[in-house]
Amino acid sequence: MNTSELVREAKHGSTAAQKCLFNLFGEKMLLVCQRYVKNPEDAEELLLDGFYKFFAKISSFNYQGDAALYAWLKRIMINECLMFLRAKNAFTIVTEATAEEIPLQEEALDNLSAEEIFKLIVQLPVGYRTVFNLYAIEGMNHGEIAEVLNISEGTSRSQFSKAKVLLQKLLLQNDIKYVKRKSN
Amino acid sequence: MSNENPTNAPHWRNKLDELEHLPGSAFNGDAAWDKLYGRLRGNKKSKKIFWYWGAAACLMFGLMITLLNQPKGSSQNENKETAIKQTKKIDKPDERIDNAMKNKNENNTEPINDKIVTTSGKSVQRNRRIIPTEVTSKVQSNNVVVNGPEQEPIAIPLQIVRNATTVAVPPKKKLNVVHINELGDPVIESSDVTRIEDIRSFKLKFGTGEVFSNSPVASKPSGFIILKTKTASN
Repeated sequence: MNTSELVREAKHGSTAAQKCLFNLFGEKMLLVCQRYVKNPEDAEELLLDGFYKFFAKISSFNYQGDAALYAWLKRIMINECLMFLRAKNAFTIVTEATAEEIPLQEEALDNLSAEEIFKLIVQLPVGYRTVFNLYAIEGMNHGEIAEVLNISEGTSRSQFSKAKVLLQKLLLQNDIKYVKRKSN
Repeated sequence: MSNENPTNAPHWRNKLDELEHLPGSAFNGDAAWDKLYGRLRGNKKSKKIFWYWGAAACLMFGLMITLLNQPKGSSQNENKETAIKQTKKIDKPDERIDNAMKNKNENNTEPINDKIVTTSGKSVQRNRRIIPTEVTSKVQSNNVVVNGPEQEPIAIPLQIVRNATTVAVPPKKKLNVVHINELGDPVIESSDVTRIEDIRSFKLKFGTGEVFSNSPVASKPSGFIILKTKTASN
């Protein structure tokens, strides 16, 4: 049974189809949640909330391909995470500073594996991490981020710059470790 | 700002998207699904329960409205009001009969012998209420004929008579029901106790000649029997 059939069956309330969809996308969506929320228990709870909303609103979803379904599901999860962070007032203590133009060494990131990149991002503070996720990974611009997080555009820029600085530092440390690992 | 352009999808981002799971993390899909299924099922149940409770609440609300519209005392008050109205109406037929009789008397030159008017064989005095049992037993046709001394019948509409027949019955007072044990035991006078009045006077005569006698009258106030001695003269 392919994804479109699963979606159709899930629309009719089939529990088996819902479980298949959950097994298909569950773990990937958990990674998305963990990129925004560090605590694994919170991330799992948000995953369940997201899937609950997904199944509740699946009747209004028009299947146009797996990529569209994945994007829709991811969007639901990100919204859940942002709501959670907003409820925890994660973005209240952000200093609005001028954004420094620090180039991010993307080549260095390319040399890292997916797990290492993930762990680097998770190490960032919540404000930096959220803006970095939304800007560098989800592809939103600062205006959209400012609207979503209810912050100013300048704050979004500065948060992203600081996130990059911190990532550079972490990459340098990681590079040293990487070199050490290679030499051994 | 070239590196800030989100449209440029670097290789590391694709790598991150392709990441399926973390090696260190232990995600229990079945347990998570059980939790999610519980929520989904609970939602369906709660929806059903909501509708059941809603229907029950509507039913109760409707019953409450009907009960509030018919309060307890209303039926008694209605009975009282109707009784009062009927007692007022009772007086009216007599007046009508009187008026009818007066009219008849005015029209006829011959005077009426008595103040007694007979109604279908039964006599009813003037200015007195018609006894309901008598009238109802006689009223079977539509009209009641009042026979005057001139033998001309006076027709009284049945409705008037019917109104006259209804008598207000005062509400009966309810007597308290008391259990026989609450009343206590009745006082039974023992027959063994002899009254002072029952004691008769007696005399005792001994061989020595001494005679003892009592007088109950004298012993009454104190309650003791006093024996009086008399010495025989012989």
